[in-house]
Amino acid sequence: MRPRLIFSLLLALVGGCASSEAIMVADGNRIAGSHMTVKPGSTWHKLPASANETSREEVWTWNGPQVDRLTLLPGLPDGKAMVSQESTADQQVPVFRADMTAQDLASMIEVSYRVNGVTVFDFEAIEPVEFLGGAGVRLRYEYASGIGIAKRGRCVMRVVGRRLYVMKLESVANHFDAVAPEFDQLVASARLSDRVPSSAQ
Amino acid sequence: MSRWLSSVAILLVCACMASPARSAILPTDLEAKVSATHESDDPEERGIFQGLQRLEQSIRIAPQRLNAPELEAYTRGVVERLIGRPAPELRYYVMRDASFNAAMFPTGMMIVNTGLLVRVRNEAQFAAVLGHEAGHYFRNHSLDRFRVMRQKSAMAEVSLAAAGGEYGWAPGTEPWKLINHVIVMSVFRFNQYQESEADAYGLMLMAHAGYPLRDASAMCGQLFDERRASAAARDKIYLDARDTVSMHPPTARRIADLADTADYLATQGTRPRDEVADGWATVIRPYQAMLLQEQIYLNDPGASLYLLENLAKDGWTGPLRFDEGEVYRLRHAKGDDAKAATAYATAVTLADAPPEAWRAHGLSLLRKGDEADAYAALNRYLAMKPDAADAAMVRFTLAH
Repeated sequence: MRPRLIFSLLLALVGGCASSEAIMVADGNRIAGSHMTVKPGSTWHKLPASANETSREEVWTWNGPQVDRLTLLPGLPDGKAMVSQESTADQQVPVFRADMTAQDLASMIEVSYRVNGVTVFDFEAIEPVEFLGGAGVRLRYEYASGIGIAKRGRCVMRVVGRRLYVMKLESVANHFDAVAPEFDQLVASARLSDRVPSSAQ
Repeated sequence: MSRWLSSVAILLVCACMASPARSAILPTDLEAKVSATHESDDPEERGIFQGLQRLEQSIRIAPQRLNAPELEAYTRGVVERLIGRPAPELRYYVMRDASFNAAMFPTGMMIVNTGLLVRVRNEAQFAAVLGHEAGHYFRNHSLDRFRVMRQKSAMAEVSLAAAGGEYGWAPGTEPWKLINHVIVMSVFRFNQYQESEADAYGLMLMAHAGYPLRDASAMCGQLFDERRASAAARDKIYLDARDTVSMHPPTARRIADLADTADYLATQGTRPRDEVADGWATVIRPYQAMLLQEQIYLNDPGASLYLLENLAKDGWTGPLRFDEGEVYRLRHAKGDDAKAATAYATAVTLADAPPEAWRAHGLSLLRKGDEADAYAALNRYLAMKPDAADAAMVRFTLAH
């Protein structure tokens, strides 16, 4: 019974991995259900949605989900949380507010990690950045998420028309420098369609 | 009828008051079962030890390990004072984990979470927790439990692998949390008798070392009150029985047991502690900002505010006021903006205000439209911490 159970589990896991789709769009890839497009410079793979994700976000990977993950959150409305969470949970990620300062946004990101079990989280930099045609904020950070596993992250955010646009990269630390230029290229390629009212943060 | 009801109520109250004394394990005849030079020929025990030694190797280099030799040395000092002898066979690791926890493994490895350190107010409270864990170790509960659970370890490993595969690398389901979960749920589910015995053993050690015994029940009471405050902030009622992770006796009974046992030991002529300076405040001060940040950024406002107010019984400091403001800023309920602004403004009036308090004060002034004072506060932040991680962002704010 047990070998059969394990075999079934493995099958389910392999099936889950196999369902990712390659993303190689020359003219720009529109993030589902949004006005945001990005233009990948190399092949990324879109991962199937998981229960932990909000319906608004897409998750891509460049070298496999156990190595790196790119989260695209295109247009989170005011009053919504950037992660899926139960309203009765003891610990809550703050909901996004359109009047958040860069410091508030950085805190929101830090809390989103800590409430999910990350115990070590340190910012390397919180700095202004050009994103979607205006001034946004870029976070660079490192965190620990498992015995012996150090990770680094980069997150670019901007509030446009009272909505939050986010591109976030997470990677094991020793792979980060390889994937970061691909992420930066994606960030630089990001555009909003003209229908979105442009109001800098 | 009402007289009958009140009589029943009185009887019930008396019964509740009497039960702890009957159920408490008196700290007499609790000999240590583990010696400093313990070695085993038992193959099963050796297998357990080899597995734990591999775990210790991982912990030694884990990014969660706090590099704090003085804290480890202090912990060693308290344990050795408790057991009354040098104990080079014991090893100590401080791990960055905001949950209240400590554990002593059969191999002599002790883990202390930062979530414990942040809640302790003095050395006696710390000694109470370490004494309890030492009780599990020296009474051989840890090894007994590992023996029982060894059969389940294969199932735990399968669960671990399956869970890791299913959830991939989502932050909340990664290895440390899973390992911690297995440790808590499987390996360290001591039974209630063992927990009570460890409490009694710990108090016995505290008595021998001359620590104030009532601090054990006080520590337990603080934890209970914090959980109630956490629940109350979410309009919930904390129900101790729902705490499925813990196999400790129900908290109210445990607090009573600890207090009863402390009183009993006090009547046995235990020696008062020699006048030794309580080094807790000194050793913890360099870490307090980090410890509180770990707690506050869990955004559990009821627990965080309780914790801050508890620590502030020794006096509000700049860092505590700043953290109070952070709790309100993260919670952002109605009126919290004003409460945060007040807390930051108070923090910067105190001599030990951290640089971050000036930044927070400046940003809250900016929100109010007081640009001149806001810029002064933000410039003060940059002067105090020119290489801050967010210095570029603050300079950008000042320039725009």
